[in-house]
Amino acid sequence: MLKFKKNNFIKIIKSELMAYLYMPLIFAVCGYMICFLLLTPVLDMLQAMGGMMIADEIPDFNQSLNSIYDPEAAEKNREEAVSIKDITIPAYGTLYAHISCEKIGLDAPVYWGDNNEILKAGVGQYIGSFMPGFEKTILLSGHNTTDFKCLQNIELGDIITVTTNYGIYEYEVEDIQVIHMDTAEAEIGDILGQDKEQLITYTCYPFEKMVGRKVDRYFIFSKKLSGPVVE
Amino acid sequence: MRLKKALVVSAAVATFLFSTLGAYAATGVSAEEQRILDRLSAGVSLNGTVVQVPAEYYNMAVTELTNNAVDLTTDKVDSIIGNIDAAEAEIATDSSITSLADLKTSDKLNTIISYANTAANTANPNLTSVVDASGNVSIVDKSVGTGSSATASSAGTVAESGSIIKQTGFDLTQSVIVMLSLGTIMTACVFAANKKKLFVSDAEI
Repeated sequence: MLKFKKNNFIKIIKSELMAYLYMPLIFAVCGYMICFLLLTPVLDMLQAMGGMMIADEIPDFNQSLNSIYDPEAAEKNREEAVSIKDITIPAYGTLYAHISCEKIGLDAPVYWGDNNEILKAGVGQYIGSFMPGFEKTILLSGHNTTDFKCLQNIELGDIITVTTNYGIYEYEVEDIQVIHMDTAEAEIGDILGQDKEQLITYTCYPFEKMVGRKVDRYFIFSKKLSGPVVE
Repeated sequence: MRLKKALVVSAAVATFLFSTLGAYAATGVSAEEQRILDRLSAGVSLNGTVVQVPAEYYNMAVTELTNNAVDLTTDKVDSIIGNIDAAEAEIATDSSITSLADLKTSDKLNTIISYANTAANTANPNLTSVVDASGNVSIVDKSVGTGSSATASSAGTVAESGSIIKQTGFDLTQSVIVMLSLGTIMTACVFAANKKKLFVSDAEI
């Protein structure tokens, strides 16, 4: 009798373990994995929507606050020089130019600033560099899976165009290098002090590596061919 | 790591000092504002060792001075340069400071930062410093609109002390680790349930 009761007790424990521990755990893990796989592409959008619902203030959807780029204005100015009075220095996070290279399919907006949010939206410019036309270095960065993915196909001699409201600038690729990010930090820091207008674009390298931290950067150095000088 | 933090803080202080450029109407760099740039070009003396201002911070100052919304009067320029000189003099009272790294661990750091705050508020009461989770310091003009929600966290930034070279690639390592962990947990649960014969019906027991 006692043995029968003990066997029954063991059966109950086993079935309860199955019912209340293992099965819920298995379903929870499976459910999380399925949800994660399905929602990953739209996670950013859902977060933004959720952020709007619990925002401390009413969001401002006025696009003019974060874009001063006017492609028609650039077409009108074909002079060799442009006055500083005709230039608006963009605020951080403002779309102010456009970068393109028809040969490799490069076509992206350029923002002033280069934080993570900006790089998700387009190409970012380091604010310790200068805008085109100031006879100084222009440092642009972009993700190697989106806007700057095509840079892997660029070659020496290719022409990169940067279009701003005050002029259209063309740069010719004269050097391509893969540099460790720590080395690049020092080298680019020195270049930023030079009195020569050059366009430096970079992205993470290698392009196909998706797992693991990327410590190398793919740099493209381009010299100025044409575009108005800012006076 | 300590040296890196020291350089970040020191660069932030330098950025703060050199970016005390307010929102007054002007066009390009005026003769008065050029005095600030000349002062920056001369570097800062740390007990006999002249440390040059990193080019990127100099450039940020030039850009802000060039901004059509910025114009500084003679008095404000004198005040800014005065604060730079005062900070330099304060450093000279501690002979152990001969580099930016030394400045970080020195008792003088807070005093230097206070000079930076004074200079900033003299030029523009809307300027404030923001320190992020990584210890990077940004100088932000609070009067600038937040624009889109995507850039709200950095809206109004006129100077920053972060790395020049940014992370421009996606890393799925974390996602892979999470997926593998979940898979391991699930496998362990199935294995344990199997071992305890929990998948068999009561009739078979």
